[in-house]
Amino acid sequence: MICWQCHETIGAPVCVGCGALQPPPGTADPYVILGLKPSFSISDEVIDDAWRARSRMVHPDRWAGKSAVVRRMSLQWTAAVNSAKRVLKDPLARARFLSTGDPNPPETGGPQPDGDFLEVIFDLQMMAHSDPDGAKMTVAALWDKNRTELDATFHTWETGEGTLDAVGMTLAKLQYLNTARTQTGA
Amino acid sequence: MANIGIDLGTTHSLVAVVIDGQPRCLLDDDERALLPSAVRYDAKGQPICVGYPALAAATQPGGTTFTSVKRFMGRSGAEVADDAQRFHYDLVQGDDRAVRFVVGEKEITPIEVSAMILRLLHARAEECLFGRPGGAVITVPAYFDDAQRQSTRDAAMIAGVKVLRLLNEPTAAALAYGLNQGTNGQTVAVFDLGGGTFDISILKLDDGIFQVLSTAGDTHLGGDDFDQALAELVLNQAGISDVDGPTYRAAITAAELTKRALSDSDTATFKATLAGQEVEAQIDADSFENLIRPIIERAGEACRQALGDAALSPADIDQVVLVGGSTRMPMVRKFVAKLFGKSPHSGLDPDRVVALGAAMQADILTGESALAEDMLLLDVVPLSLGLEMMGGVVERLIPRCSAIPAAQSQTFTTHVDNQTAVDLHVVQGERELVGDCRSLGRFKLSGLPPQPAGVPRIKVEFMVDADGILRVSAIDAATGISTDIEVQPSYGLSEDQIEAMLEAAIDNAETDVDERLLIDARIEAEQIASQVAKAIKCDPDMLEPGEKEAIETGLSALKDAMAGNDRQRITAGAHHLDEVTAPFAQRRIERDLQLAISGKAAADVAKALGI
Repeated sequence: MICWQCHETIGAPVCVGCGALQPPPGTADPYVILGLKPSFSISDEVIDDAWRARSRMVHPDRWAGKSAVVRRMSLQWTAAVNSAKRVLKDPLARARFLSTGDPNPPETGGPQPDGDFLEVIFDLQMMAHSDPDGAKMTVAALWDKNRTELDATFHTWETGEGTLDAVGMTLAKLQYLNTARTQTGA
Repeated sequence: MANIGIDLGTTHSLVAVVIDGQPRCLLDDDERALLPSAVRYDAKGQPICVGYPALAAATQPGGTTFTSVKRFMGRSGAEVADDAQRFHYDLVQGDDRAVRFVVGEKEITPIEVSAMILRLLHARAEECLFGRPGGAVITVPAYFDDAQRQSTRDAAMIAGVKVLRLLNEPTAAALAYGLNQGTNGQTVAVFDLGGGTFDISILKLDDGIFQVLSTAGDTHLGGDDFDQALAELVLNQAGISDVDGPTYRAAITAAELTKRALSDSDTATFKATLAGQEVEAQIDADSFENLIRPIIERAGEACRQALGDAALSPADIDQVVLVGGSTRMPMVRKFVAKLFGKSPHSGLDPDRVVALGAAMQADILTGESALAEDMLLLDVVPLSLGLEMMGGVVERLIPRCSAIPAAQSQTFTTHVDNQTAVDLHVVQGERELVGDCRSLGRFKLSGLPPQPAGVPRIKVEFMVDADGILRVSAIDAATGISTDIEVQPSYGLSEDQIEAMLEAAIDNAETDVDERLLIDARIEAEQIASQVAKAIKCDPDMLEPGEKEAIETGLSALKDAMAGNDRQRITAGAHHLDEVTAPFAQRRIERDLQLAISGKAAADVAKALGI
């Protein structure tokens, strides 16, 4: 990132060279906003520390006497930092972001896969970088397994509340797996 | 330019500033820090005085003294009807958007009354600091909703006070306390029971950061309620049923004194003249406690909610800090000690601590604070913000206790072909149905290009700023054009109304100047007239023929002018009298001079001769 004021190359919301507050990042990625490495296993302390450090830099109280433009940037930055904390502190939301790339994925209204499944999806995505072929195979296997599960549920359809939920859950998993299939090229 | 901190309280208000690295409350001419939050209006609805004199005149006829107006801020007439009846304030009926009091022919909003208090505190600061303050941090109860915060901001605007930040009262108190004690790494509960509002905030203090974990409260719970309960009890016992305004005031004042006395002793006497009747009642601490227990219990509920939201148990709280005058009551202290399982502490004056914290935050906001270079307050929104969805269900966009500033966006579309406008209804509260939440405003997005239903994608962003006030913006995602938003606030004033009040405030200021000049002119004319009258009486023989008549005509013309309000006529009359009297006055002066010289000379001769 290049400082808008002094053109120094920097990696923080506030320029180390001239002390200018930078415009908020053009991303909703909570890891980028808080300056953290993407990882599902991240402790609350690490998130809180990063959030506090970022708040110290960007909070409106720090820029109270500055121009309206700077104050607005500080407001947007802080709002982004606070949203990022909210997403990362919630394991489910964190996993959803890691699997969809969207910090606020649209609610489908139906049942949502549990954290364990999302962790599997997340691991797949990590694997896609380190071991693309392995990831492709795992995705394909998971896809087949869930398709079979879905077919089986349809075949042994029983009227009752449980069945519909089971179908919804499998469909939701398949949606995630479909995204993973496109990403891994399976 | 120094920034100031203002605690705009229900019963008392204060102003403080950081001087030489120390926050201090500024005092009035009689060395008092507390300004009663009372404003007196005459029968015509003109403001007369603020503070102690307004309070002293409260039981007098011929006007209205407004107290506790903070309870009416950002509320509708229907919401505060009970309070208005109790205080004997006449409300404008039929308009539920904002409360307006009726005094004579005038309608006065609580915002204008608050503005009078703010203006006086600002003037006090200006006097003490020998210059206009840069800006002000004004404290509000943490549990104030958007409409109540907005009203506070509007009051400051009308008073001509530049608002740097609205700061939550418990957070301000924590800041004032935080510097005086080694509280690093501690979790602190601030129990703030003031005259009319209750807040509980749970904060984590870490390396200069004051992070609010959760907050809860009741904007209708405070010392006022204890006074009212006691006053009503005594009025009932005395069999006084037809209570008028002045009687109620007198009962409240006596109840407050009794309450204070009960903080120091087990029994106290309620004594007052109510409706021409001498009323005296012995109140013991136990029966008073029974009377107010249900009121205090409400604070307990809020405390439990705040602990729940912070995911903490009472044992996790390292310190409990007491703020607000009502925490002087032994019963409140006992209640808090029991609730948190530890004795609360209150090293600072509970009446002043909020103002001191506000002054510190004001100092931090100068950006050059030596006092608190690394201090940072991270606060939260007290109540969830959401939108009305189909079927009257609330969709929560920003949940309560979210860190502020907070932003959240939602994309909307149209339901009908060629629809060019969308209505949004914003609500605040914790209930699932719109009808159970507080309406904040209706937003109309207009100017959408005509398109088939479901095609437009309008991204609406909610942004809660550092003051805890919501702003809404909208963008047409397809075109990137921001959509026009027309805001119709559910409570409070529209922009036009604020503008009108600002103009009225300026007009009033001009009226004030005119009035002062008129008074000055009268005083001057009075002096001239009395001197002239005295002179013609003393030295009638020194008057030339015809001179006496001319002077007397001038004198009576001036007296006529002085009876009226025409300043120019008074000045002209005084000038004319001065002119016609000039030769006569000249002769008198010469004569006096002669006398003085000759007298002095005679004395000197006598002295020289040793007589």
